[in-house]
Amino acid sequence: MLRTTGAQRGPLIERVALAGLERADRAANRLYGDRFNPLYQSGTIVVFLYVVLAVTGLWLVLFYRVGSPWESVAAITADRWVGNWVRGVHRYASDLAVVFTLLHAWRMFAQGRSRGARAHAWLSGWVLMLLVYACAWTGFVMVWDTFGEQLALAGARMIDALPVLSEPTGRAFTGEQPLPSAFFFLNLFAHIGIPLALAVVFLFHVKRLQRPALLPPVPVRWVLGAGLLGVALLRPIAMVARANPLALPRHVPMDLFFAFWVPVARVMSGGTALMLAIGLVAVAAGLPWLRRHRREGRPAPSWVDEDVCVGCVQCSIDCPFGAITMVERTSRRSELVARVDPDLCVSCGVCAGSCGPMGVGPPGRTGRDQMAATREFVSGLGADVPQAVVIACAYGAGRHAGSTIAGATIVPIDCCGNLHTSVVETILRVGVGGVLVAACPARDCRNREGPRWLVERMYQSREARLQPRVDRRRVAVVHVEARDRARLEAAVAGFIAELPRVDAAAATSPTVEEGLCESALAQR
Amino acid sequence: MTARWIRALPGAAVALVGLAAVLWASHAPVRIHDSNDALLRLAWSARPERAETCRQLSDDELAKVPPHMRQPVVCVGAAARYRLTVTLDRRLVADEVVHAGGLRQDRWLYVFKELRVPASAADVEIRFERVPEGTSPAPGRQPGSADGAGGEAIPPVLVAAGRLDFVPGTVTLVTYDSRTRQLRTGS
Repeated sequence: MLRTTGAQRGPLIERVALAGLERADRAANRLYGDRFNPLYQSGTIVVFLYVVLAVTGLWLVLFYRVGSPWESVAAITADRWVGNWVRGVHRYASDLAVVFTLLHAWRMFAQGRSRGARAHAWLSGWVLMLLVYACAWTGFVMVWDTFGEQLALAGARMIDALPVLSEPTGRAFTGEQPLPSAFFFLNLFAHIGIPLALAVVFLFHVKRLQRPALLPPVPVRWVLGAGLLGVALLRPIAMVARANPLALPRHVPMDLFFAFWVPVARVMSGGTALMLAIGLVAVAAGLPWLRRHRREGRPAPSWVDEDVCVGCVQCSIDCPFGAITMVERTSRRSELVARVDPDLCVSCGVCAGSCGPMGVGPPGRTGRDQMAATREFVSGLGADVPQAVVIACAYGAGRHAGSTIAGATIVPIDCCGNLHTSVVETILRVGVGGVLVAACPARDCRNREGPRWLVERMYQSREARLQPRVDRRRVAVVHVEARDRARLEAAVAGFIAELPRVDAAAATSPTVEEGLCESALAQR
Repeated sequence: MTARWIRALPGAAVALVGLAAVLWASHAPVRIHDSNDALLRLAWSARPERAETCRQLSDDELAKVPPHMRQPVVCVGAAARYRLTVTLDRRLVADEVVHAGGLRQDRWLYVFKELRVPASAADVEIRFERVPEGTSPAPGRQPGSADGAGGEAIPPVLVAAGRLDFVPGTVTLVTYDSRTRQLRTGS
């Protein structure tokens, strides 16, 4: 019925990643519900952890001494009341940040949110990741225990492979002379300076998002904070042996999140290790471009019919990516007209759902296109009117399109935020018992705000709102993830089961429009 | 209706398992060296001698250059190279040529080499010898003398020989002592 772009099938590696992600989402939703599923919050959790790192780091830096690095950290660790758990929270928060960063990257890649207009966020994300690793490297080296020493040696071997410095940096760690405190000062300076650079790059990372969600829901923050504190108290950080350049430690306790590469780099030359690292990062960052999508297959950006646009600014507000701006125009139709920036538009179609006059949207998916398709659909029904129609997001439950569940026809749409509410009204007017919209979980929308705007258009007064004359009892929105067919079936069955009661109630109590008419007639 | 806290138990259990995995990975013991490993580390830096070819300019050649550039003797040269050889119980374990640092090889030379050795006593000979280049030092300059700012150049031959006891789990460090102008060992 409604035109879709086929949810843009990506290359094989993307599809495999998506299949794994959906399975993980399903399991996590069963455990935590979609509102608190940590996999949906991966990006905001990383930001929260960075805040924790900044706060605990600021405390730790007050007691760190560049002249006696190991001793000062030992003193912090020996302080059971505060220092030990602050150091523990700092350490474990950094580890968790790596975990959730990787989960976030997995989701962005698997869901195709790393290409096109969103490529800059993908690339800036990799810059952030590299900065985090550089910051962590300086942080561990600052302690100058055997682990820090191994990191320093491994890093020096890679740097010495570059034909830049005449003196090998590894000579600083030979034991010929004690390390000058300037070395630790440099590390401290970098450890504080890199997070400032992180903040700047992060602003660039989110600059194309309207209303970016920066922090997870409050309950998630509490659980994370309490979890970090609990782990830091139950498994306090212990001091590792002081670095000794003239000793060969047999085992060194390493933080594998940041030092997984050290055992690998040790068995090869510094140059080889450096080339391998650069190559792997380049391949990982360039994954979205491994197989370029053909240009003709990419969805076209939205366009504005300036003869229809009334300058209401709703599409500009609703666009999740800030691709629509209002500009002045000379005609008398309205002072403002919407203009789409094709470089920013990801063709989600949310603008089409926001426009009452149906003057904006991606080609083939504007409000008018949706109405044309809907009229064609309902005219084809004839006498065979289904009990219910399910309109489902193509990225989610819409993959069951073409089948029927409990007698309801499933119709896919690219994003539920693209759905124009007039489609719902038109379907109900031909006698369909009810319309159920199966949206993706609110925190897992590919286009960020589709489910949120849909709910506000259906039940509140956000334009283009579902008209008050439509019986809300015949409309429902459910949030169903892609692989949860059981939940979709249960939601559809439950919705259809309620319809006879709605029919009975409608027969005795009028709708809003009918009530207004009767009231007007009574006053005559 | 199951109590809320009971429904939260599976999620909490998974979270705890995840945290336990994070804890293990945060302190994972990684084997770096075998228990019988010992290391011989050669690390020093010094100013190399300068091998120059000097010649006297003729009166005609001097007349061609501006008055403020008329130097009677012109020397062209480069920093000397040195061959580093290490033998262990008369077995050659390292043989390489070390040249001065920098793109133009006109900086100090830096020796930094690590050799895994059996943890036992061994006869060690370390030679650091200037590679003959077929050039002569500038008139008035003696080999091994100061070549400008930065102190004395390294002697043309440095030898450290003797029986060393390589203790497992330790590094035996060989460096250059600029005061005695000799190699010295320590651990």
